[in-house]
Amino acid sequence: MTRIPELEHELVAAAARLRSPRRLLRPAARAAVALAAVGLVAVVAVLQAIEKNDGEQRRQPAGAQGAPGAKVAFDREAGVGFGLEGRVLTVSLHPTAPGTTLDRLGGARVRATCGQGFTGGQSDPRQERTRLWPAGSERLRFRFRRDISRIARWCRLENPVLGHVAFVKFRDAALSSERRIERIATKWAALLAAGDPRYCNFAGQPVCERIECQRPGGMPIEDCTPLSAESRRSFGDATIEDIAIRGDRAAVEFSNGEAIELVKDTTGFEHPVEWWWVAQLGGDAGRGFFE
Amino acid sequence: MTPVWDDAPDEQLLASTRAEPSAFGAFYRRHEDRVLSYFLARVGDPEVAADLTAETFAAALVSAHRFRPRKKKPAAAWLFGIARNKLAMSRRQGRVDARARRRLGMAPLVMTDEAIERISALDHTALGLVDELPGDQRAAVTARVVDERDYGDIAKDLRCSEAVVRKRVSRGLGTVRARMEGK
Repeated sequence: MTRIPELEHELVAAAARLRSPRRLLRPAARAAVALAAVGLVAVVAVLQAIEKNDGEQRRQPAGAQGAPGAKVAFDREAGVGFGLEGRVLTVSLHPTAPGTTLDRLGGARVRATCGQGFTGGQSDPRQERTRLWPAGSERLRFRFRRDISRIARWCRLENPVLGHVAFVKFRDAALSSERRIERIATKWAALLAAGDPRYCNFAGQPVCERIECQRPGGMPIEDCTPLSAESRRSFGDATIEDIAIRGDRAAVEFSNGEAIELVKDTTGFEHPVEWWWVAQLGGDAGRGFFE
Repeated sequence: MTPVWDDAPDEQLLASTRAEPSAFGAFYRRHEDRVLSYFLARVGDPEVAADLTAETFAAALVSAHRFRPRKKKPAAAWLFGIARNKLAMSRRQGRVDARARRRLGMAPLVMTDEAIERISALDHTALGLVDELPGDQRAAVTARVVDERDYGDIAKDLRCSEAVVRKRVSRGLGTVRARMEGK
């Protein structure tokens, strides 16, 4: 037997179709039927697996899976959310995912890996699975062979040919809102100070546009004063002095005297991840929060 | 049925493909492992290696009737030429090319866990070839490729210069590659 017997059969069948010019008209129809059959088999297999998994979960005592629900995390820069529940990792694209992420996923085979440590040895269990990410798809499930959801500390998504796509650590998922905002604001400030355009990955489009005074495509915004280089740099040494949260809005005060406002977003993924966007800088940002 | 092709040379298999499809099946069986190993060693992922293998053989099937045997370019070298092109194209495009399979109306490859395991086992073949290298090359290749250590670090361990380590790694990998490609 060959290592991929299905491929041998497909090739021989394709060779048979090439044999007669009259049969050249048929491949598309045959492929569609084959595709449908493969799809049907896959659907049946998935349904059976789900049924089996559900059965297994029902048989387990309450709490056997560790914390209830999925472990969730969000790679903001890549715009990719991860939800690990049992053996199934759900990877979702956020609507703001950058082009680099979309280019590396759409229509390509991508590999998802989740693990506990980083040594990769026998004592460091990890699970990986490669699947085709259909072009235009916003979500894909990877079914691992084993359930490592209880011990997994991180997950990674990569295109084996082009490289890294997204990476998350699940410890971030347990962060309090305040700690999460602190991290986001610190990262955003550091990128802004360094002149790294990725600061826009942490901010809403209007904030990005106001900082540069440019709309997408380079069109200048009238009556707009760009943030000076000096102001930008001042964020490099700035520390966070205060954080105030009011419902779905928050404000952060920096030691350089600047304040920003953030808005909460649960990203709308199947496994919602709490995230905060920088929504306002300067002006009356933070007004009413710290009194 | 198929055993009749087992002793046939590659060139005959390719020439007979249009008239007798099972000939290409025999050609596939004969080269499957080497092509899979070739890709596995370069992309490191069994499913991507399988995809590239499928596209390579599909492209070979499409152009089998144009293959002309030459002394300096046997059928295996022709097949690996296609494999190299498919790999390069996939790296450029960021995804495995599927034109030949689309042209042939082949269904997408659905990989089972068992097939993935069978392909992963080939990785051990490559490691086995590393084990067969002379001691100095084996140590250098293992440290650099398997353990992913820095040349300087390896040089300290092996008590030689970095240049020597690089040479040993290069020679060792060359030997492994040649053995995997059956040169």
